Amino acid sequence: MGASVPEMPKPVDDAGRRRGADVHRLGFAGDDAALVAALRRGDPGAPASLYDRHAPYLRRVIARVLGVDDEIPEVLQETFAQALASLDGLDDPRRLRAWLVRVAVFTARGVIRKRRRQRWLRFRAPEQVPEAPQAARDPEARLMLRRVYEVVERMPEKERVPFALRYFEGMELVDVADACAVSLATIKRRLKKARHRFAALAERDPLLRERVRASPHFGVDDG
Amino acid sequence: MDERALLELGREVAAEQDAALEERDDLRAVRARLLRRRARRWHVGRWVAAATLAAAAAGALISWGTRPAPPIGFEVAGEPGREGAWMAADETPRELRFSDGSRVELAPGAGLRVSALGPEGARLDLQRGSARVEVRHRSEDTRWAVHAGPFEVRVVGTAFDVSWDGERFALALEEGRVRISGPTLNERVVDAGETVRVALSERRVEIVQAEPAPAEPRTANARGAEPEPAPRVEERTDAERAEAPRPTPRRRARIDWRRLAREGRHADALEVADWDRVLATGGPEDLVLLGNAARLGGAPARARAALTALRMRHPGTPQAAEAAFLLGRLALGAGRAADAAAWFERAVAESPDGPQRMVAAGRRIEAYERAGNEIAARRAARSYLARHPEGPHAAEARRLVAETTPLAAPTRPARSAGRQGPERLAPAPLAPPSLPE
Repeated sequence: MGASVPEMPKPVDDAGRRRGADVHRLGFAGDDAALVAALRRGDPGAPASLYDRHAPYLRRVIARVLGVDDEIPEVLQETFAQALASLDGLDDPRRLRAWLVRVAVFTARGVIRKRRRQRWLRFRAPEQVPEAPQAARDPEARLMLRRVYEVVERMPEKERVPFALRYFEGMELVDVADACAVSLATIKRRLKKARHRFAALAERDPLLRERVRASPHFGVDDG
Repeated sequence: MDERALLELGREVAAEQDAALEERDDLRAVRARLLRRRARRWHVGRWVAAATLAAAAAGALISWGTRPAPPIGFEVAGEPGREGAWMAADETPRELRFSDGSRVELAPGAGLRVSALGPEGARLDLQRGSARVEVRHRSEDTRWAVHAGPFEVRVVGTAFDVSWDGERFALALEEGRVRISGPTLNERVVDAGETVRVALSERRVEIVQAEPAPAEPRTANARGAEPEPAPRVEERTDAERAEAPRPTPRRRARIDWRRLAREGRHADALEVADWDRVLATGGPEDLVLLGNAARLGGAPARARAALTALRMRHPGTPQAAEAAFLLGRLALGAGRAADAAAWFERAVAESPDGPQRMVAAGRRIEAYERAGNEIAARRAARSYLARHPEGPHAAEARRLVAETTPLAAPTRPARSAGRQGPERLAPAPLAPPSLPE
């Protein structure tokens, strides 16, 4: 089957580097700029290609912000729906991915706000409460993941989102700033607050406290 | 909190999330929905009417939250009840009847309020005392919650008794199924017939599973001449265990976890050990035994917790040095080579001369190499050869040293006063590596 699919040019990231690991065999050939052009001229295969190319990464970004959550599929779908509907707002087609991340973050942020507004309705029926992923590798890690998100959910959304992007997704500061549509200075300030808040909240959770202290970097001046 | 510690934690979070996402098959479903929806939209020409990104996203999110159905209502003793108002039952029980058929009965002395009403349920805050709650399950969307201090009970359709006195929480579930969350418990599902009691000050959780009674279970047990059969009781003082599959009560009899750990039955040892108590009061021997059992039993987070507790509570002991070594092994096993090197540094610095120190010094070389810190790896190799020329890592150390110093190595005095002892090598200085004499 693979032999019948023509080799597609590898997509490039924002810095122009090839991203071999993320390459999918797509029905649409070309880099992101070409993909945007195809979308704008109404190429019927282009929306599917947009999705195939970027959905796995965006789903990951959404999961970082919200946690592994039952609403991820809806948020992902909404992200693409919004992106496709507002493609004219994309100034630089080569920065498609960064722009999509911004849309995803914006959409996920809306979910956080919605949940805050409807806080009392956040509970779900027992059978609807998403269990931690059953087959995930390590029950301890699952528990840790849940505890981390219990802490993160108590942070203000303006701190929580950059915190998740920076520390869970490992984004560079400039990319976090871009995703949150604020300046680099603002993001640094928010991250600093977020770090302090997370540390204070984690300190109240016995498991997280042990985990954080188990890091050789905890309270150690490596210099 | 240190940036590196957060990034390290974040990597673990991301790895676990990615594993969880791998198991989900929602990408294809979203793709199908999206393209279907898009095809419909295309035909009605909505593509042309695309709004700006911010306005559209915000609008969509607001529209998600709309909820047209009116909230349910309730009455107290025939009078309309007021959302948010506290009410108390003095000497007689007090009943709240809800328009969806649900009812709440406050026991004498109890205080409660209905803090929120929604179309599919209500939220109750139990201030003190006991209440009986009977939730009528009307649809899959039924949503009820009872808050009692820091505990939350999420309900669909069920009947239960709940009480809270500011320190102790109890819930007896008669029918249905609920999910409770709160301190010490973390979060757990309670099934019909189970009673959960939590004593916060003792961090004690008791889960009683009622024995099935053939007839008249309540009165027969309470008043019968025969001694009441002892309920099956599980005691769980560790929140994590709330998530674990329930062991049969017999398994939690007085089994010595130390014996199990020494026999190599690590998972069993973890199951029966009173985790919190060992962490809080265990001696260095117990903590290192428990940490090792957790490590070998595939519970690295618990292992780290036990070993870290050991290092905090018993610094300066030989077991603390051993804990540093084991923490290094855990870090190396998790692919965090730089952390592992830091732990091995500590183990070397803290261990007395002996086999453990030699092994730690050898693993230190490996960790630095894996972390890509060649300078530190070479320094560690030289140090190792100086002390353990015949040690198990000697060949590897010679290879490393030979790669860079085929001729005479510059001779410099050994660093003698590192912050954590004479053997501390990290971070590697920019100066050429030296061979300790």
